[in-house]
Amino acid sequence: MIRLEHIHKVYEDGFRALEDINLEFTEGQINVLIGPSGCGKTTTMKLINRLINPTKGKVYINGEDISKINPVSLRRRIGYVIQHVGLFPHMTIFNNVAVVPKLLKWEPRRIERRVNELLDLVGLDPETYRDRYPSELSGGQQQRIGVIRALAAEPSIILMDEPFSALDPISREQLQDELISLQENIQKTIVFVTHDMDEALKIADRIILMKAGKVIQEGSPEKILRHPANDFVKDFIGKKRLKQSEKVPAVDEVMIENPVTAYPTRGLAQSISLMERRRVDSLIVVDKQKKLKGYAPIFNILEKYTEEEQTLADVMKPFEHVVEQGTPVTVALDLMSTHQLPYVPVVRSQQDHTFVGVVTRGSMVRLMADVYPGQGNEGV
Amino acid sequence: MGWISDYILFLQERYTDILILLGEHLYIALFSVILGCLFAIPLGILLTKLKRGVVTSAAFTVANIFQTIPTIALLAIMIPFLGIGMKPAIFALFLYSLLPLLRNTYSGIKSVDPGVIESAKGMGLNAGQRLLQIELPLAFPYIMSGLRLTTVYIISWTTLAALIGAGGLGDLILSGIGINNKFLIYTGAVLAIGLALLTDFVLGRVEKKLSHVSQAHSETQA
Amino acid sequence: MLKRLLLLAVLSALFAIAAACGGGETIEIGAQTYTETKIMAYINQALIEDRTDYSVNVTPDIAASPPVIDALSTGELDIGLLYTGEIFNNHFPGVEDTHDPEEVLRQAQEGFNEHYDFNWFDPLGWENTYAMTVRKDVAEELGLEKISDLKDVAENMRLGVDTTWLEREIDGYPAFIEHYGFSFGEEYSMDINLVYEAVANEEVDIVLAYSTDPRILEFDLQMLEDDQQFFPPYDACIVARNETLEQYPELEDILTLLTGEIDEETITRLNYEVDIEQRNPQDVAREFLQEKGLLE
Repeated sequence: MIRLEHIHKVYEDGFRALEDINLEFTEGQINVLIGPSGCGKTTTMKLINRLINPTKGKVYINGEDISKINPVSLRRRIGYVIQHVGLFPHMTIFNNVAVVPKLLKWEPRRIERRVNELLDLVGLDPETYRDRYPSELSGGQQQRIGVIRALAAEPSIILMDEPFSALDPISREQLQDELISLQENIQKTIVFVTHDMDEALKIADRIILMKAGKVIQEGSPEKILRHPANDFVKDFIGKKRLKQSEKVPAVDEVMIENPVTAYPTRGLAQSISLMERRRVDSLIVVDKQKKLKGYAPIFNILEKYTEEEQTLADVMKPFEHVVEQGTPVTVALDLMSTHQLPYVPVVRSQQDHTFVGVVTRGSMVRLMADVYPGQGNEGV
Repeated sequence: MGWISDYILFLQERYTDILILLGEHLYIALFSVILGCLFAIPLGILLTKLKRGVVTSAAFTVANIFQTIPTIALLAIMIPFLGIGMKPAIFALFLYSLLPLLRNTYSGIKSVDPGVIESAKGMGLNAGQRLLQIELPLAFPYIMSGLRLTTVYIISWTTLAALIGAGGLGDLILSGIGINNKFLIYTGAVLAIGLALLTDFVLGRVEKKLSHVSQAHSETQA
Repeated sequence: MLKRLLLLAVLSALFAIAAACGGGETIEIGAQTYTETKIMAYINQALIEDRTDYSVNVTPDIAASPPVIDALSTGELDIGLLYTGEIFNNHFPGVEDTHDPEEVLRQAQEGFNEHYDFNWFDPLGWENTYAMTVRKDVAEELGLEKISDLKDVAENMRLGVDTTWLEREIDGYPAFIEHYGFSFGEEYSMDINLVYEAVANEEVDIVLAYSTDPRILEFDLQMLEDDQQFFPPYDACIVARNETLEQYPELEDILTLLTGEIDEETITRLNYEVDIEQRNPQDVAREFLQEKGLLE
């Protein structure tokens, strides 16, 4: 685990690059540092391999104060990938990948095995590629080499400084996908710097948002989208993404809050007339404390209609599927389509079962109309 | 066509002198260039590492001034300090070799992609390893072209060294002019040109060979 | 300062080109790199411009006498200053080896007239020959007065010479060795202007000087007598193209005004003014003519 404690960085010209940074980078996760240029994200990352030393404060890796470690040997234990690839143009792919293992004086045979393995890992045939020079590879291939070069000596930490930003959009997407699936296998602690929010949202386990040398907010992509700390974060995330995050994921936003409900004590004839009046084919049964009890479809009511003593409590069935407030719409949609449900009730929580609303297929359609307003308007 | 047999006779009679002068010429030129390399290449590297631009521009200004002093003047300026003969000649030509070597080394190292340097640093290459494994190999073509250029013109300027008693092929040319002997003039000039071309060719081969070596290096290590 | 020097160099190069291309009413005079040839060129320029309407251009610093002869024969130059011993530089065949000044002069006048169509005027009066020269203290220490005295010490001496002497045939080094029967330890050839300082600063022990050079006086050097008459006579003479003299007939009288009028002492004094006192050779030339009352 990497921990930054009370880091200050002031440059000779008086520029305060970092002010009192306290951060932890979670082990085995992709930690994304993001922010506008000049915010200190790259500086923060370079503290970790001592390309930059703090003016004040300490950096710990697994509890060890890194200012006590020789920077050169520290760097050999940390993978590093930079924006413009940084491959050595005068060395073959093999030699590029083998740089750190050679510095660490690995056995030649071990190095060879490792390089081949890594090339296979990113889908580049070792026979074809190892003796080529970087200039003979495409940008995307070069950056794949950049990534595996960082992995070569099996470091537990990898620093990536805007590694995909110089690539075309298609290669960028591909490499992001590859990084995500690679990470599933390698489980490294990755510190990834970017200024691209889409990239951050896509790959991050944790996002650390910085501005003017300070950490503004940190947390999961979900948390940041849902609860932006202030206007700066909102602006940085962008209105469109916020709107999408507000409407798409939460069932609260799309549920019907006052559907037709009835108490369990209600008689069956009364219930039929209510259903006729409200044009529904099923009643949601709640008690006086608004606790969800179950539902009564019209066929069950009609079946017992002749027995005048019966109430809804006798004919209703419990819900097999309910969702909590805050559940992503996609989960509800999934339930509905898997179980062929016309609707799913929403409760405050699974424990207290207080009924708050219902998500229907119709509410999904309205959501779609909101997200794609152009097409919605034509329909009207 | 009588001149051909005359010329053959001339060569038969004088070839030992000519070879000695050729040897002197090569000695003066190569000595100056090697001294120049030993001084200018490390200095060029050092200048790329300095943070103060003042020192760099001062060094280039000085080297530039040496370059603009007319050769004869520089040779003459050397005499009170170093006397006559090979010493002042080598020293003056050494001063001439500085600028192109310095400039090419400096710009060769400066031309290395900063991204490459940074990633080398970030990967844990120390300053010496970065210089030897990354910067110098990448700056090598620049340094070589500076060296070739320098060698060619130092060889041609070495002819002027004859004016200050240093010997070399310039002796043949100057005395040829002095006593109206075309054989001497042409022999001196043609040998100086040939020497320049040959040296350039050899250095070109060395350059190729060395860049092949750096490429083949990977295969042997694999 | 440097820029000004460069500018000067460029300008003089341009002048030289312009001069070479120019013809018509301009008379071209050439001079070598050493001072007396320049002074003489400016003397001739001043005389011609004073007495005629022609304009005269002087091209100084021609590397050696053979290029002057080439330029005279092609017409790039009209007038130059040469020395009678020049005949030993292979300009024409059939030169007879002699040290008699009259005989050498005759061969120069006839040979250059026949082979080059030059008018080789009678000597101006001074001789500028090669002279083995040492520092005075060395001369005293080793008891040197004449070249023969070097016989026993020469092999330990370093000799400084101009860039041609080692190669000259009749009066060059191989002939010298044969004539005097000894050779020097080491030889350094260099620009003639450097030999005086080289011997004064003990870079070399003995030099082959030009006998009229004022630096022999200045550096307190001692010329050794050519006791076995090895060096041929080098009498300074004005040389002009016959064609030029036909075209401008009044030149012949002007160019003979100073025949026999300038002795070694005089030319050495003039050289001294330029080389040691750093005066302009043009001024020295005019002053000399005024003293002589030759400027009208």
